[in-house]
Amino acid sequence: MTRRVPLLWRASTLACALALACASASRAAEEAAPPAEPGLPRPAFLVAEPTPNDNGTRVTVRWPRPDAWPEGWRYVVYISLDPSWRWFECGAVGPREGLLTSRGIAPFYPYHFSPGDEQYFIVSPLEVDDIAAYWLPAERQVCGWVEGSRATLQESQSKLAGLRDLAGKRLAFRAVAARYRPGWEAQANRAGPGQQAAAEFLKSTAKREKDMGVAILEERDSVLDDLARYLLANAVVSAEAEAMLVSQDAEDPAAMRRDLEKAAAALRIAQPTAEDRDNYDRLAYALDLALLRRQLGDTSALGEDITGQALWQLDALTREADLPPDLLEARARTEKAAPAPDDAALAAALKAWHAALSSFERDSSEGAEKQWATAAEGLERATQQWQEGMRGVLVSRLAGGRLVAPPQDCLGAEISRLGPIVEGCQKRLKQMQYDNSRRPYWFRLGLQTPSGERLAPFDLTASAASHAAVFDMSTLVNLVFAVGFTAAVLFMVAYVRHHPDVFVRRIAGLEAVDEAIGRATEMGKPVLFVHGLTGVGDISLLASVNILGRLGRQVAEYDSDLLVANNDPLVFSLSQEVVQEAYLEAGRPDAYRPDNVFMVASDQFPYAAAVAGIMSRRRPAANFFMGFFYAEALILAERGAMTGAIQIAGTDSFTQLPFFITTCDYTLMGEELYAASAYLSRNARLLATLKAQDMGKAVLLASLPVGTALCNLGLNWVQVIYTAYDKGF
Amino acid sequence: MRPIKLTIPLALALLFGIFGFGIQYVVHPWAADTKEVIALWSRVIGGIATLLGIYSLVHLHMTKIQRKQEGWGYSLFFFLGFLVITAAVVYNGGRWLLSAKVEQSVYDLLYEALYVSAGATMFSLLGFYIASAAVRTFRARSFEAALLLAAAIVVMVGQVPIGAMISPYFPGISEWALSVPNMAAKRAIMMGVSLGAIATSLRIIFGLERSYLGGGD
Amino acid sequence: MRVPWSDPRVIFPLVAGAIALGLLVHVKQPIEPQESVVAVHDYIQQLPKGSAVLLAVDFDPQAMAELRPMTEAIIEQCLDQDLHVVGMTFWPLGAQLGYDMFKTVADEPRFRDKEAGRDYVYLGYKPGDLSQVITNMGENLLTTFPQDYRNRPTGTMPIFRDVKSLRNVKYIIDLAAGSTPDAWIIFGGDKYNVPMAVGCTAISGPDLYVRLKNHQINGLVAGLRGAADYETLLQKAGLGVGGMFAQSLIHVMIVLFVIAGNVAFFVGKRRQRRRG
Repeated sequence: MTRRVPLLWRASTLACALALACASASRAAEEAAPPAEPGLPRPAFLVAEPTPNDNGTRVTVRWPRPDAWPEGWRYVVYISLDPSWRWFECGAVGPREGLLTSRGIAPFYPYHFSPGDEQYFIVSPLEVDDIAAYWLPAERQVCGWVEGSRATLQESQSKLAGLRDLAGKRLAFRAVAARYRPGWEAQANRAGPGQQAAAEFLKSTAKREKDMGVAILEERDSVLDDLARYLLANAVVSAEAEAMLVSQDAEDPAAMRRDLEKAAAALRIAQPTAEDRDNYDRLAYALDLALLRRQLGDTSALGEDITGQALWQLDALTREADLPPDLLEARARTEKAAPAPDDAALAAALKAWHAALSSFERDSSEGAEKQWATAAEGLERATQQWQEGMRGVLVSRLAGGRLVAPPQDCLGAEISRLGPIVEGCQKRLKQMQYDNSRRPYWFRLGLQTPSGERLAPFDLTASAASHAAVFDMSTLVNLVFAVGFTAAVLFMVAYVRHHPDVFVRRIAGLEAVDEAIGRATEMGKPVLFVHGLTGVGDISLLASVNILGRLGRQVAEYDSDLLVANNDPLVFSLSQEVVQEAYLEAGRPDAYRPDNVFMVASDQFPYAAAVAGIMSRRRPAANFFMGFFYAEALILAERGAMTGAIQIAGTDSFTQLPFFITTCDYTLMGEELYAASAYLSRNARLLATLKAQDMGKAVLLASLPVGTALCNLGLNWVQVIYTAYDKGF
Repeated sequence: MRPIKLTIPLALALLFGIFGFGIQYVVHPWAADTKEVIALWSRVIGGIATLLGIYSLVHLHMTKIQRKQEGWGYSLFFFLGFLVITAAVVYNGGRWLLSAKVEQSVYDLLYEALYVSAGATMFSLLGFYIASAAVRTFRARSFEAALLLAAAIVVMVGQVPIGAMISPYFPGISEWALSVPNMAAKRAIMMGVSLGAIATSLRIIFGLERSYLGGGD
Repeated sequence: MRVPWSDPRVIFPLVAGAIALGLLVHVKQPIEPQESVVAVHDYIQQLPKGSAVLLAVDFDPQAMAELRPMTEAIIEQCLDQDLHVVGMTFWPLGAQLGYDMFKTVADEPRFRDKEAGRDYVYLGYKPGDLSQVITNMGENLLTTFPQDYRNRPTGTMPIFRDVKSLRNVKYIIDLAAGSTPDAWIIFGGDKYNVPMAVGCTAISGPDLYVRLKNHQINGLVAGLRGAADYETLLQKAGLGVGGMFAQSLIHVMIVLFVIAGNVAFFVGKRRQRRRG
């Protein structure tokens, strides 16, 4: 007894001591730890991965969704090429933004059926504006200049055409004014009731003439600005190529391409280095510049031709407009004197810009950012000054006269020549962007307060490179349905080989085909077949052509005439072939008349008018309307009904069915159009496909009540499957 | 002759059918590029076929005029319209064909005065034909026909402002008729049509259906 | 019993007379805009200034009577709201029509300060497969339309400074006489998550109700009635409102004809039964 008490005492004392120690430790911990921050918690993990089922341009970032979401707070997603480099904001994600995963059936595709409750955000790196400005800036700039030079020439061309119009209008206005001016002047000088009105009229006429003159001069100046901009674009691209290709083998694009391919391959390995990335960028840009320099050629001579032509045209139009000298002088006085364009200054500004860009890429300090912004402003100023200087040169040349008419349209020729060059440049830029988008990127999360302030990001990063998938797994359900239905069709086709007796319910419209053709033969009148308005890409057209083939054979056997009115050239070729073969199959090639299958009109209502006219004149005894119809359906069917023809229509156009039902003797609704060919042929294999259709319909019909019942019980499997069929997982 | 007219086209139909079907499930950029190339081919073919269509029209009307067939006078109008519009487009307000389209040219006048007016007139014929079709065929011969008739009357009156003036229930019932039974029927027909279209496509792809080639089964 | 008025020679002049009367005599009717039309109007109303709205004017002169009033009303509302309107079409014969509509609205005195290329632009007709062209527009509008309808380069236009593709567009409205809405919904609205609305002819309206109920489009303006509803919301007395009385007259007339025809049918049947 005595021994147990000390043991118990020791145990309980120890327990109490331990408890006290824990309590004080936690109190101490509470006192030591900072008070709980308001806002969203640091996520337990951050995952970056290539976006599944993507074409290789996007990356997905995932993190666990917090249990509580304070009002106004948001997660901010940042992206960078390297954790030590500059970070850029991709977007801010609120509680209902970003995409939420949800619990569901087995995790097949991580986003909708993840076992966890996560938030995710899909980033298309090159669409993040800040990054777009940062990555490939030089490449974008050059491509922009080349595109811009073409656009500028096109603007000049259309403005010159507009100037011609303006000059013509001014001359016409002056001529009319001159005719009536003497009368108005006389009235203005004569005291009387009309004196003031005449004076006002003369004043307004003079003002109008002056305004038209001013408009012509403004447009002329605008063309001069465009020309200066075009020449600037050429100068920038030349200076850039001169600066960047000094150490490159600029004469061998083939070798450069090979080097570039090697560099692109290096990017595709799991962890390319920063040098790999730089190497690729440098080689891609160099190749682009080399090709452009070669394609644009010696722009000085070409630019002279284009400028010469434009200036000559401007001079001729200004003279044609017969502007008063005082207006021209007043305009000339507004021209500011500008120093001559300085190529060296432009080259220096470009060099400084490139140097600042290199520092900016590596140095995330504010200083580097400011330096780049300063260099960008400097480049802007240099280009502005160059452009103004060049404009001044053009104005002097224009004022100097002695311009020579160009031997040919250099402007138009240059625009055409630049077309493929611009396309090539855009294509190369797109490839560079695509290769860049497949690099690894780094991501991290930060917070945005309700007031919009950005807090320091969490010390949690993740990295991933996008990857082009081959098969889109989210469409798996769709594929399963498609393959399943195809298997059903093929199974039924194989099944009827041994069980050829296939029952298909009676379709009154198709049973009446024989009767209709027989009636037409008895009356000695033709049969008219109308396809509908769709082209060969539409399955309903193919279904109607199949029916036409069978009809053609029957008409040939009955020795009647078949008129086929077409509204699409491809359908017309197809119909001709089908009808000719049908007559051949029926053993009546002599009875076939090519003129009976004809093109009518390719537009809806001209087609309807023409066919209605044929019905009124030729009075066919039987009309077949098979295919997809729009509003012309009623015009055709009603016209046919008025002529007393027997009419059989078949369409899958839901909105036209009521019109056909009310005006035609028989109507094939929806799928009956597709069944018609099989029905008419009575071929067991074709009828077997109708059975497969029925199987498909049975599945759909069964899933409706089953799915509804399950939904009411809170089980949405059927709904999920059909949603996945339509929209993917 | 048979391989050219039958076997090769069937093989091509199978190949392109399976390829076209499979490429819908491929998300690699190569698939998008290939689809663009195929779309380009079909535009080129369509462009060439347009020439065939023009030839057919010209041939048809020329033959009618030459043989003085019934209604040959109308064929003269075809040539008149064809030539006048072509001339207007080529003239292009004096700038001729290769310049940008001139505003307010003869073509615009013809377009607005003739084409727009004629097109609107043809569309307006629908109003007349609907009236005569409705009068002639909307008879309550059976229960279903009576139901159709009642629905047509309610929807027609409900869709115009006068319906609301006659009774405030008309617009609501009309809206219900369009969005419930109409939609149910449309969905049902769509399901059947979709399955029918898939089955027809499969028949063509696997060569079960050959009428479009002009041959037998 | 043969009803004399079922003869087209009687019906057609009566229909023509009713329509003429309805257009010549102006009777103001209370128009209660439909919910589907109000949805389009309200959505545009809440878009911030400077938002881009894409208008696909996919119709030609045949459908002009129904679709032109609603198109012009929508352009007016967008310009009033200082939104940026980008127009285009997939119908070659509708290209000129689209340009005319934009010009008609822009030439109004109250839109004098609106400039083509800055506040609105009409890009014209684009040939090709709809799905492919819409997808291209979704990736890059400027390469799909390097020039507008007047051949002015789009690259330098201020309106495209912030609008590079469909992703930057805030609302797509397809004004369609054909089946283009399906392609726009699948390849435009759904794929790039851009809200969509459709304006269509009355005959296509029932077809598109499914899309509306499935929330694939957030509004539907169907037929001349839809155009009238839209004009009522804008407090504008345009062609839509102007045509409502004629439409009401003709609808009532057809209903009366149908009822009369049925009465005659049943009377005739009874007489036949008595005789037989």
